[in-house]
Amino acid sequence: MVFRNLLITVSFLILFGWGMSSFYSASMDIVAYFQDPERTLMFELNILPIIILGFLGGIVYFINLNKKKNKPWAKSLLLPDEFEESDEREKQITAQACRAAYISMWYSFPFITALLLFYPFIYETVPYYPIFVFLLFPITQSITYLISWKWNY
Amino acid sequence: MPLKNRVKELRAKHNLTQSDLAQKTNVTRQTIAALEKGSYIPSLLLAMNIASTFHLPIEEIFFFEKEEEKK
Repeated sequence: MVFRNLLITVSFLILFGWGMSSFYSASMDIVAYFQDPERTLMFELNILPIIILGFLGGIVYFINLNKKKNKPWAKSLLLPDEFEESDEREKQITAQACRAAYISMWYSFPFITALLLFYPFIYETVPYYPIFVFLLFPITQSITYLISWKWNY
Repeated sequence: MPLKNRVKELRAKHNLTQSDLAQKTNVTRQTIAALEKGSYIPSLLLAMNIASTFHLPIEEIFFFEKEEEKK
């Protein structure tokens, strides 16, 4: 279950990053459109990542909804699977995993922030680089959380 | 001093499966398994629920390893 959750979380974050990079490219097009009055096309937007994200998100949403029929709707819709706490031991495991994720934030943030120093070198080829760097934060924390959860379960 | 317990032994004596005991004490089966393995120390509430299921005082179910050696 944990590795399935890990796969889903990381895939969604990557798809989200891909979608955001498309929006970033569109924003750059819009800026260019306002700066260049001769331009006829306002912007182009690749909606494929958003379609995939919406499709996969819908599937996961309905699977979760079916699995958690007996739980309050707010809990089943808003809480991710990995926050399942059926009893006191699972609450303790969640607390340990949250602690591990918090610690991982302090170790990962200097490295992830330092990755932004490469931005001026690759600005031309990968203009949306900061989006992916920023997404490394939730990816690192989710991986740490789920590994800790699996380890202590 | 590691905390030991007689849950597995008492469960067998009362003809209960891990799932039965889990249901009676409102926890998951995995929690009972972890408790029997000694990898999880239960809360006072769970310990009292288990004690009341077996109709025994807590100290007859949960004890420090040192005390067991004395017995």
